[in-house]
Amino acid sequence: MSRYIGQFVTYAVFAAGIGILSVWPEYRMLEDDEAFVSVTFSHAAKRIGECRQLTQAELNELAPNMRKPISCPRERHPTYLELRADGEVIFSDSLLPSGLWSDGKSNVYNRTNVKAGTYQLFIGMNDSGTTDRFDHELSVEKEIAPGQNVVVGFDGLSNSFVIE
Amino acid sequence: MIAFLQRAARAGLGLLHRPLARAFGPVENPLNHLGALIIFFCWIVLISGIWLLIFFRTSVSGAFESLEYLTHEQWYLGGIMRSLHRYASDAAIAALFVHIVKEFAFDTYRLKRWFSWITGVPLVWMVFVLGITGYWLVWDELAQYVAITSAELLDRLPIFTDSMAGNFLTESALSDRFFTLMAFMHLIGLPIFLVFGIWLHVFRLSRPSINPPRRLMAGTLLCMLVLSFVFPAVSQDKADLATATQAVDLDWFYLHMYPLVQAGSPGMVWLLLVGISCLICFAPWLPPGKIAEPAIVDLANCNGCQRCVDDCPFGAIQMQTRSDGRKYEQEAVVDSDLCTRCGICVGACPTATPFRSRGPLIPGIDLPELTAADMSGTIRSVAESLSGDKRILSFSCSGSSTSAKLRKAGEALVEVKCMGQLPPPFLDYVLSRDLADAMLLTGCSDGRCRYRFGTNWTEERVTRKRDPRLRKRIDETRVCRAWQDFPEHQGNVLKQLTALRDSLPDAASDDEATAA
Repeated sequence: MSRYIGQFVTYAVFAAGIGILSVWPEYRMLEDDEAFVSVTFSHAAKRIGECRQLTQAELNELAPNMRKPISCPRERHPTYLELRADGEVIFSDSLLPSGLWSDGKSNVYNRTNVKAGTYQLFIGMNDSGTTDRFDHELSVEKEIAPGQNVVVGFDGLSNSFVIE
Repeated sequence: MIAFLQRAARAGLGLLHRPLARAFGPVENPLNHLGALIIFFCWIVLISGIWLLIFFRTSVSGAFESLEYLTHEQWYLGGIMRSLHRYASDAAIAALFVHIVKEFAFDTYRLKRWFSWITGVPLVWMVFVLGITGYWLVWDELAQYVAITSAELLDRLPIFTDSMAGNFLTESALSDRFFTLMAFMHLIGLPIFLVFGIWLHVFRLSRPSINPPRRLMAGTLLCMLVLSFVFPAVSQDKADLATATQAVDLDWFYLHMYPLVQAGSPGMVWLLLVGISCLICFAPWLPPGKIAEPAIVDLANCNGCQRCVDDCPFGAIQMQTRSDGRKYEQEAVVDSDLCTRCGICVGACPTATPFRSRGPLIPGIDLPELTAADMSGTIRSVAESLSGDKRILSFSCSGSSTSAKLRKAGEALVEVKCMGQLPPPFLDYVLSRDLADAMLLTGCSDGRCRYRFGTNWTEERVTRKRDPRLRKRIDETRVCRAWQDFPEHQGNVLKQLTALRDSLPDAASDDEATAA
């Protein structure tokens, strides 16, 4: 009899352990008064140089099948990104172009926790290698509700930022 | 360090083992069927999963609704199946964890047994990926959290050109095709690899234990069913990509690593996962141990009887056509890559007998590390130390805790690699040559033979159910067995030794009987 009681207790403890650990303890990512601001997009920055006409002397040095009169650099500039909330930088990064030849798009994905409230959100991006100004920027006043997920993207067609 | 961790793990498992052995007995002790239990849980997951698949819709809007229908409208079947699906998956992870700890604790993963250990690593990965993709398919708040965090992890790998996590931030970025892909991985792709992986995992074992005892299966299934009725698995709120998931009821069996992605970084989690996996993969050679010589076949004494092939727990011996021109059809061949040097083949060999009068004791198959001749010599020398009228010679597996107890108690002890290495003619030899009045055979103390079948085969040989059998002229009561695998032989080994000693007749009564 004690053997069956032992088995019953074992199964009960096992079931309780499985049942409890499958949902408990709760994991909290955000406090009740917090929200996320996410930045995600892919963008191809400008190439590091302009195309140029090769001289006849340069063409002569190339193999006959490689003699293209125009030479264009493949590499792209890194993309510098800065996100500010009420003037305070909450995310910034310099994104390298993808690809073996650094000629692909730069990808960004970032989530930042912020307190809910109204913010002056500013997003600026530099994709031409200059440092004195942003090539693309957007500044909007945004009311962020608790638990909201504000997504900052970049529309490649209109070449402008989008905040959803 | 490793020895310390193994001792600690053995102590921890001992705390579990003792009450479980009392409740279930050694034959049905769940700790002795962990691998088979995991497979049984997989069966429950498979069957319940097929039912869920019938009603599941692979689309952003349909996934959540179809599971809500199963959970609430069809709770009596679909809801129970869903709960069984989740709880059996969780139980598989729990059993998997204890299985790994047990193999590590009892050092049954090292050297020549590396294959099963290493093939288990991708299995663990597959089981986790299966569970994670399963949570993804529910498309509730937990699924949203799992999707975004998994995508953040995958984005860390240099395999995607665009950010994958960006697909889970707005409703417009998410498509039904993604669910189709996830469903394919969860329902078809990974399960196929899992079945293949399980086959590979047990490939080098002969007679692998695939099914746990029936009563254990019934009890476990009943336990899962009761849990499913009392505490059914339900979805959390429907995923809403416009809002951030603030808190989730996490399944800690599968998702325990996910909070680390936020607390640390995806790169740190990858480093941890890959680091642990590499450490586990290299564990069989940490530290690199000296590998003893494998069993060797002596063709002059091998009659091709095939008993060693039948008894080898690791399928390391094969029969092939005779190469020495003798009249026997076949000969045994040992695969040194599979041989674990347990010596069970020596115990099975009918030519391993110390009664041999012509020439030295060289059986058809022998273990160079501890030959049959060595055993014979040790038995004679240890028996010489016995005196009195109740002389008991003990045999034990080397390195077992029972062996240490007997040695500490000052008992006459002969150690063998595994009890299965001891051929029955040796027992006959001890009694018939009056080297001792009785013998005590003890095996591994954890309730499971380190070399899988050593105690089973010895028990069957002594009780004359398996060749080579103990000769009928031997009084079986003079060969006491004390191993944890069998209910009738359980108990404290020293107490059993005392009981055996008490059961032996006194010398005076022997003399009277002789006179009468």
